[in-house]
Amino acid sequence: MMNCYQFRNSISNFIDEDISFKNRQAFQEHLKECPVCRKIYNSILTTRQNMLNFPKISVSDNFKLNLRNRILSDRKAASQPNSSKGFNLSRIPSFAYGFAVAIVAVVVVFFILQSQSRNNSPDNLPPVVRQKMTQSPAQQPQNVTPDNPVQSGSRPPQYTSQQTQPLIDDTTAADNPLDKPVEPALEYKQNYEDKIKTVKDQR
Amino acid sequence: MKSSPKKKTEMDSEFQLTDEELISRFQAGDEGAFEEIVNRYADRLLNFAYRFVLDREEAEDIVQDTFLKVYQNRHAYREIAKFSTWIYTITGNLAKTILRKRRNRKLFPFSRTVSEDENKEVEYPSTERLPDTKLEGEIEERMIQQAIIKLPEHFRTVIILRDIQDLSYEEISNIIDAPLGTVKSRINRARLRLQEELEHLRR
Repeated sequence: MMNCYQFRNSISNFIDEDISFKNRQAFQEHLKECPVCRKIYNSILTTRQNMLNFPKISVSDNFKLNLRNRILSDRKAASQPNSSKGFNLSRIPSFAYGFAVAIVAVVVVFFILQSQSRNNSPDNLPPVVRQKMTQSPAQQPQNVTPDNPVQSGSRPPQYTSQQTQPLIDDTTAADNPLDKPVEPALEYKQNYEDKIKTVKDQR
Repeated sequence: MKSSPKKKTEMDSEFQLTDEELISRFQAGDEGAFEEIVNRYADRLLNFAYRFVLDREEAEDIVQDTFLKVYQNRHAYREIAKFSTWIYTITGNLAKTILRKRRNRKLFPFSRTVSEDENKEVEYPSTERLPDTKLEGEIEERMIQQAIIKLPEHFRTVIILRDIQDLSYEEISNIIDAPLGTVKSRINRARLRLQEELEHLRR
């Protein structure tokens, strides 16, 4: 005896006559007894019959003409392979677009990171300060003598034809902190300490 | 104009050629054999493609593409499979490509043609006024077609091939490249699923 599950699994085999004699009998018995399965079986049969009777459509009148034209143009294209050379968007594979987008993204991220690192550099000082910085070397004397060396941070000294370049580079000497003149505040402090010392001595 | 009896007998003998003989003649350079293949398969393939995509123009394009591929790749066919299997496989693959493109258009709604597709109503052949019995048949056909469209692609393929195109299990097995047992169980499940869809539509 067949149950509903087995029956439903065998419907196509029964319809297409691809079922053993024993199973066919069991199928027919279940078909008589089970109204739900009978309904399913009947509706499958009806639908199948309807589908086989679906109206057949035919190709349009110019189908063959269009096909012939396509074949001819295909032949032409095959005989002139060079004519198809050149840029064509449709030839670009789809993954190439993704790759291009990835490259653009990497470049954008690189520039963003670089601009962030520039924010910490002196180049990003306010324009007024930058202007002053650029102006200060211009205020320096143009003709620098060996006795009057250019301060550090300014342009290298320019020598005239009569002047000779000193053996020791005074510009580098000026960079030495030991050779720098004493700051006025320190000088004042020193004088003040001397004065206190003399007052103490007098007492 | 009267056709000569000699020509008629030649045509008759050509008509009796099998598909495999025709394609081998075409492979040898007989363009007339290709024309005969087109005559034999154009309508069958159109009906198959139409039930898949439900758009007559698209179905005709698919059939044109199929014949163009047959023309271009005539030497790729080997007589290890039936010619009908080969040509149905090409049409089926092209129809699936069209469906995939449609799905992609739905996924990416910024596509140019999506609005056209959404507005386009499903086409059905013959829209003339019909007698009652014919009208009932028409309604039933529409309903079944709607149910077929709702089936998953693997069920839809086997239902169309078996119940509309009336192909054998073996042919379907070769076309969809699946074992015979798989084809049998898939057809059975597809038929049951189709009934469920029809039940939903009738409610």
